[in-house]
Amino acid sequence: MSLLLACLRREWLISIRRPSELVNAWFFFVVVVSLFPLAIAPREETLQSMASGVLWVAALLAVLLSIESLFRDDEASGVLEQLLVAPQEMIWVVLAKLSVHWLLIGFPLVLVSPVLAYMLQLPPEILPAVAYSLALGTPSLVIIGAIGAALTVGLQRGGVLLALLILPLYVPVLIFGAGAIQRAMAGDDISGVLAVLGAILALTLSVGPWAIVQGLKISTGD
Amino acid sequence: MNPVRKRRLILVVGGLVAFSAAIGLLLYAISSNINLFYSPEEVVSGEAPVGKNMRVGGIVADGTVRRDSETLKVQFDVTDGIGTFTVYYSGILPDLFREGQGIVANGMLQEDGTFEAYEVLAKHDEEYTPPEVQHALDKAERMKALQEAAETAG
Amino acid sequence: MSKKQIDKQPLFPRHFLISSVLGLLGVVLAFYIWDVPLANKTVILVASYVIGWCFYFGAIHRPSWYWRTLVRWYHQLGSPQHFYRISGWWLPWLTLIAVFLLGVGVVWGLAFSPPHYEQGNSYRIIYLHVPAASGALMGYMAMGFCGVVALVWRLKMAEIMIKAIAPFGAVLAAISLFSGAVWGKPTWGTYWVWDARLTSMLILFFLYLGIIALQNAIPDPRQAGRAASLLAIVGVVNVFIVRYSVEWWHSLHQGGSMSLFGAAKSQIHPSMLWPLLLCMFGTYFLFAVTVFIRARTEILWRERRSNWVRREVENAI
Repeated sequence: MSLLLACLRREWLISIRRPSELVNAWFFFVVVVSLFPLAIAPREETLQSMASGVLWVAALLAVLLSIESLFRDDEASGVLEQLLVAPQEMIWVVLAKLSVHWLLIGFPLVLVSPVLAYMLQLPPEILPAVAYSLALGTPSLVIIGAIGAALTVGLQRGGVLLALLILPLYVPVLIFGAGAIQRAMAGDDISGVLAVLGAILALTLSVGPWAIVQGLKISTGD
Repeated sequence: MNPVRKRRLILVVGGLVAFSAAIGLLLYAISSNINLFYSPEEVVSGEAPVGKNMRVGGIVADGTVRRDSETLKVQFDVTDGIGTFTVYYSGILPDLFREGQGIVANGMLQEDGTFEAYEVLAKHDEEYTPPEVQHALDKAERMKALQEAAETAG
Repeated sequence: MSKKQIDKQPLFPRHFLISSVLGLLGVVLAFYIWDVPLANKTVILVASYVIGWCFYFGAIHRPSWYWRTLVRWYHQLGSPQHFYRISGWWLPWLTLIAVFLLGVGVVWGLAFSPPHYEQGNSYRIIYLHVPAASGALMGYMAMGFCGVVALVWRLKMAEIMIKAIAPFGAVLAAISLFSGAVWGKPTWGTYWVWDARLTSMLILFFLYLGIIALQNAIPDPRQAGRAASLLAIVGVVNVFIVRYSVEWWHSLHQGGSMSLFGAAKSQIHPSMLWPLLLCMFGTYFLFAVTVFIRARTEILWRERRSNWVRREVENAI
C-alpha cells in the first residue's frame, strides 16, 4: 500500500505545484457553459431544455483537454520509461495518476456544476441530480480518456487525434449522463440511469487501468 | 504472503469486484425501465406516468383511424391485444401507416387516458414476404376464422 | 508417453468410448431443448458431433502430429512472406467467387425477386443495407480478434490485417448508414432517428475512422499496429451494443430476420432470402479480396528491404 501512497503523494505534489493547468480546465468549463446563454436567446425554457446537454458536453471537453497532459511530462522527462521498467507494477502508478487527476479536475467540475446549472435556470430541486450524474460520469471520462492519452503520448499534434479516438467512446457516458438530468427534469426516478452510469464506471475501472498500461508500453516502444 | 503477490491479489480481486458490480448495476438498471417505453397494456393499467414525454408502441387497431377532412389532425387506437388507448396526432403520417401496422409514437399521456403524440413513426416488422404469399396467408386465416365461427355456431 | 505405450493403446480406449456416449447424449439433449428450425439444428449438431469425434479420435492416436501442425500454422501465419505467396494464389479465385455471388445476388434481388407485401419495391435496399451492415460488424470483430493475437503473440501479420481491414470496414459502415437513411424515409417516415441501433452504428463508423487515423499518426509501423490493436479491442464492446441494441432498447429498427443459431421462425420468404444470402456472402468475399490486396501491398512496403521482395519484383519485371 505504501507504493500506492507514494505514487499518490508524487502526483498530488506535481499537480498542485502547477496550478495554472488545473485552473485552465476549471475556467474552460465555466466559460463554455456561460457562453451558451449569451449565444442563444436566454429564455428560461430554451435554457432549461438544453442545460443537460451543455453541462455534459462542456464537462466532457474539459476532461478531454486536460487529459492530454496526463502522461506528457513524464514521457518528456523520461520518468515514464523508468516507471515501466521498474519491478513494481505500473498499474498502481496509473491508478494514482487517475485518482489525483479526477480529484483535481473532475471533482471541482462536480462541485461547481450546481451553480452553473442554476445559471442555466434549472430549478433547484434538479441540482443534486446534476451533481450526481457528473460525479458518477466524470471518473469514467477520465479513465477512457487516459487510454487515448496513453496511446498518443509520444506524438506531436496528438490533441486532435486524441479527440477522434476518444469521443466515440464517450458517447454512452454522455447519453446516460445527460439522460439522468433530463429524466430528473421530467420528475422521474433517476436511479436506473445512475445505475447505468455506475455500471459504466465499474466496467472502465476494472479493465481501463490495464488497457492504459498496455497503451503506455506500446507508445514507449516496448 | 510476499508483497508482490499480495499486491497482485488485491488487483485481481479488485478487478473482479468492479466487474461484478458492473453486472449487478446493469441488472438493476434493466429492472427499472430506463427506456421510458410503454406498451398499451402498461398505459391502460396506469403504470405509465401522465404528462411526461415518453414513447409508446403497438398496433393500430382496425377501423379506428379517423382523419379530419380539413386539417392534418388524425386519431386512432393503439392496441397490443390486452390494452387499447386512443392517440391524437396532427401532422403527416408515414407512408407505411395503416390499420394493423405497428407504430412507435412519441408524446404525452393525458389525464383522460388518451395520448397526445408529436411524432408517429411506422415500425415495420422483420417479416419479408411477397404480396401473393401474404394474400394466401390472410386468406387462410380468414377461412380458419370462418370455419371456427361455423363450428361454434353449429 | 513413450512410443511403446502408444502402440499398446486399444483403438477405442475407454475414456474415448465414455465421452463419445456422453457427447451423443448432449447432442440428443440439445436437440430437444434448442428452439431452432429443424434443418439448422440437425446440420449444426450432427456436424459438430462428427467433427468433435474425429478430432478426439485423432488426438488420441497422433497427439504429436496435432501439436506439430499447430506449431507450423503458427509460424506460417506469422510469416508475411508465406502469406504473400498463399494469398497471391487465392486472390483470383476469391475475386471470381465475389463477382459471381454479388452479380447473381444483385440482379436476382433487384430485378427478379418479388416486391414486399407492404413496402413494395423500396424494401430492395435490403440487398445493399444488410450485407453492408453485417460486413462492417464482422470486419470489426475480425479486427478485435487480430488485435488480441497481435498483442498476445505479437504476430506481425495480425497487425497488417488490422490495417488492411479498417478502410473497407469504414466504407461498409458508411454505406449501411446511408442506405439505412434512404430506406427509413419511405418506411418509418424519417431519415434518421436518434435510436440505439442507429447511434451505435454511427459510433462504429467513428471507431473505424479513429483506428485509421491512429495508424496514420504513428510513424513506426510496428508501434502503430500495436496501438491500433489495443484500440480495436477496446471498441469491440460497441459491436455487441450494435448487435443487441434492438432487443435491449425498444428500437424503431426491426429485429433480425434470419438466424442460424437463434430461435427464429424464418421470417423472410425464400424468394427473398436466397438473393439476400448471395449478396451477403458476396460482400464477405469482396471484403476478403480487398483485405488481401491491401495486406499484400502493406507486406511489400514493410519488407521492401528484404531479399524475397527484391526477387518478387525482379520476377514481376
